[in-house]
Amino acid sequence: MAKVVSLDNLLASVAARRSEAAPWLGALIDAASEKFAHVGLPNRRIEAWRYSDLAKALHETVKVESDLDAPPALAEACVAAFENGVLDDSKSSYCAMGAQSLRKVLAEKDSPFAGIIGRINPQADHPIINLNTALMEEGLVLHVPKGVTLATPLHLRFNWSGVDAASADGRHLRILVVLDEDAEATLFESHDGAPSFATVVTELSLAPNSKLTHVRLENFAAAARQTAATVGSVGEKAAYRGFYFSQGGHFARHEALMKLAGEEADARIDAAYMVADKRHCDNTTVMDHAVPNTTSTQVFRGVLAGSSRGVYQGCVKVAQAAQKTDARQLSRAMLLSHRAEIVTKPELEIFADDVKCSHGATAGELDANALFFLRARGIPEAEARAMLVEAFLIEAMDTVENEAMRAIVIACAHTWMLRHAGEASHVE
Amino acid sequence: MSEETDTLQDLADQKYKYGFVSEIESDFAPKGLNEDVIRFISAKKDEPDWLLQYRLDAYRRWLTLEEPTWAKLDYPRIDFQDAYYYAAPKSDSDKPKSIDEVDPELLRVYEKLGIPLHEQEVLAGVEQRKVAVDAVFDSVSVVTTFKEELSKVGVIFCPISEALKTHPELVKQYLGTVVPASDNFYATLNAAVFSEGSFVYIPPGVRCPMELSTYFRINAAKSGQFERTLIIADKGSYVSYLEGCTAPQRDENQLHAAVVELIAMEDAEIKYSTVQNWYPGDENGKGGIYNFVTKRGDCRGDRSKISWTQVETGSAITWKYPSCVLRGDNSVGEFYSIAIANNFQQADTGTKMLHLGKNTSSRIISKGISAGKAQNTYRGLVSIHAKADGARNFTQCDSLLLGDQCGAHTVPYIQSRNPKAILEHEATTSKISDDQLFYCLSRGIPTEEAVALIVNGFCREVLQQLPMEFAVEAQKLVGISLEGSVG
Repeated sequence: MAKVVSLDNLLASVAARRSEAAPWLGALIDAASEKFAHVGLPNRRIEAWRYSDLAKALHETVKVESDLDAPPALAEACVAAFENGVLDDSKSSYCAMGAQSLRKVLAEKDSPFAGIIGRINPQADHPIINLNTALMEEGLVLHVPKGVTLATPLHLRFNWSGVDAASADGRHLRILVVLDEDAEATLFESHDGAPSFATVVTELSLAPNSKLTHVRLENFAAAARQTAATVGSVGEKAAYRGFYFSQGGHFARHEALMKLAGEEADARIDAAYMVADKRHCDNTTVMDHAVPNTTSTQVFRGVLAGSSRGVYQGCVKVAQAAQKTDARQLSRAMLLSHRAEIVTKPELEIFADDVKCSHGATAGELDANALFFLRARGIPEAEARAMLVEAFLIEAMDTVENEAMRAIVIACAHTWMLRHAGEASHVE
Repeated sequence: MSEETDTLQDLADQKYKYGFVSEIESDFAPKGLNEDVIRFISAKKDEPDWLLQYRLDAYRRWLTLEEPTWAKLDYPRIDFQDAYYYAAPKSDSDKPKSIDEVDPELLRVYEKLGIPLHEQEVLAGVEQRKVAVDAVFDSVSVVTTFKEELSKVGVIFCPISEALKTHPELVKQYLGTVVPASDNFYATLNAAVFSEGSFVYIPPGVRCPMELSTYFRINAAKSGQFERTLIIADKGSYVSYLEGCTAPQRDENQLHAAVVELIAMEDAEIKYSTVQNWYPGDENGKGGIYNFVTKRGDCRGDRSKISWTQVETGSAITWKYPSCVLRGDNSVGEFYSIAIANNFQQADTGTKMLHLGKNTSSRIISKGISAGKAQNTYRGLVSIHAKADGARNFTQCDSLLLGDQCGAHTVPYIQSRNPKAILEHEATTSKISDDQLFYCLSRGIPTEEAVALIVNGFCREVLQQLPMEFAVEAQKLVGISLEGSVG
């Protein structure tokens, strides 16, 4: 039986890390670990973790399946392959685009990234980001210089076999992507298998006029326990395009914490989540409009089957100075089963008067009339249901511009639908 | 922009219209809170033992609770030992036999507030429209009108202390069944120290012949008021209850923690309307009422309905979430709210709709208006339980910002465990549209009137829900708080 992740063990590991860290990193670790020790592992008493009790989930025993899905292969991409949380150079090709391993950067006495790591849209009180900062070891750093457009996407491939005896404290990965002015890049993140406990923090710094496309695919096995955060700062006229797909896991949470830091910055997130069995899937976003004339859009669509639980917490913050903000947020959830649950908390926090902010949230089931229409034309119920679920989600998936990536996402959705969409909601 | 600043300044400069202090001797319990004070209140009210025990249990529980801090409210820590928990007009011991014997000072206070205590037609030209007023002056009811007419149809409408004497079995049966003494910090405090409030019982099949109304008025300095209202609508009955509040201007922050419990049995309907216009503090944020209210309705029977309507314009701090527990099948819950926050006012208000029964439906319409340096938060929960097949919810929260120093926030919680349930939520935040304003101005309507017109239009859906007697006052209130403001 593996050691249970506990606060004491984590803090002991932090102390060990601290002793061998370079001075710049040491200072970072100190600040983060102090904050983390104060709050501890997040539990439901903390408002932001009310529906996702990580401390409790880590105490539950999980059974890892033997036949895990293989990670997707994206043709024509530079790969950074993480096997059980460790960067595997033999399977990787990230050097071709100038990326370097985080381990190398952290070991440097004086790194050019020292002033950037942990300082992009800082989240001083975020327990998981603090934990990640204090224990980060593996990861990747990508710097795209001014005016450069990366033609090939960077594929961050996280694959977990589920057996991870080496690290009882979990694995804490950090990705840093810095786009200089007028740079463009595409990031493809895939998460497969079953981490026993992992945190992944992706920091994105978008300089003026840069553009980042970020496709994120969480295709976990049922036993996976991961909490991830994408922390970004979008500069003047820069654009962030995010697409997130998630199947949930024993505990799967992803947070997108984006700061619109320059005028005319734009962030758009489309997401689809499909959750079945006893899985838990949490999507949390914070759009922080800090300056005037910025726009953000979020569209989250979810399908919940079995006794799964879906959580969407979206917050739009508009600072007093951020006049002319245009922020939109939409959450739509479909329950396919009587035991599934959806929790939505679309929040607005507005301190400026000349803004347009709206949010909408709906929850319901498959349209009975539409189902009848298809059945009347001889389509078997399971297939008809799958068609309707697909029709519901396809709008989100169509926003993925890269065809190869879209094909992978749609294939994942299809696999899921073959397994679950036929589950009749009235037969419980 | 400068015009905007000017008119907003005007808005901020408005003096509290109802700010006067009437001097009537009060009978105080000693300052602070302990078991002796609770025994004092209980003895003063000549209460049965079970109630004293109920109060003491609540008090002991309260000592173990912590003040909630999750609301978007910022205020100095309240010293609960620095307040009086009981204050009654002196004349309590020898109650007036008729309205002529009522302290004339007291009557003048009501006159200033425009409450018709004497039996009379309420609005001229409205045939047989009557309002029964149970006036609460600080903590003790002084005069209850229309009693006879109500008793003819079997409606019980009296101060809760009187109900404890005349109908102890009813009070004992229902008190604390909707908001248990252990519910939350402020409700527990209220359970320990509540001194007055209204009790309403509508017998089966009776449609209450008039609107019931209670005007609360906090008067003695530093005396927090802890009303307890209990309304029971038995099978197939209907009642409309009005609650309106104004309070004199004072510097100290006054604490107010009321509890309202509504119970609707099969086919019964309760309509509860509030206009709250307590002292909001001055333009520098000094003084004002702290209002922490727990209001909850229980749709116990099938096809029952509870409707909350509120116009919240006063109080420095508002912490209020009128809720509906939709237990009976096909029961209906409604919440209509206008919250106006100006200067340094802070309002964190909303509702909870708990769908337990089949085919239950709820509707939430919330309109928040912020001006000056005020913060206005809508916080609401819609929860659909696994057995609530066919449940339906529609929520709309709109916020309007006047000026660039204020804040408008929306924090909805939406939970569903049932695929047969349909939930819809939408929210918008905006300022007064330039187009609308321009349209009005180009037709010769002055800016002030145009703003009032637009804002009244913004609130219309809620104002429409108020009973006529209240709609007049509410519209006036919205108008007053908007005098001189501009978009």
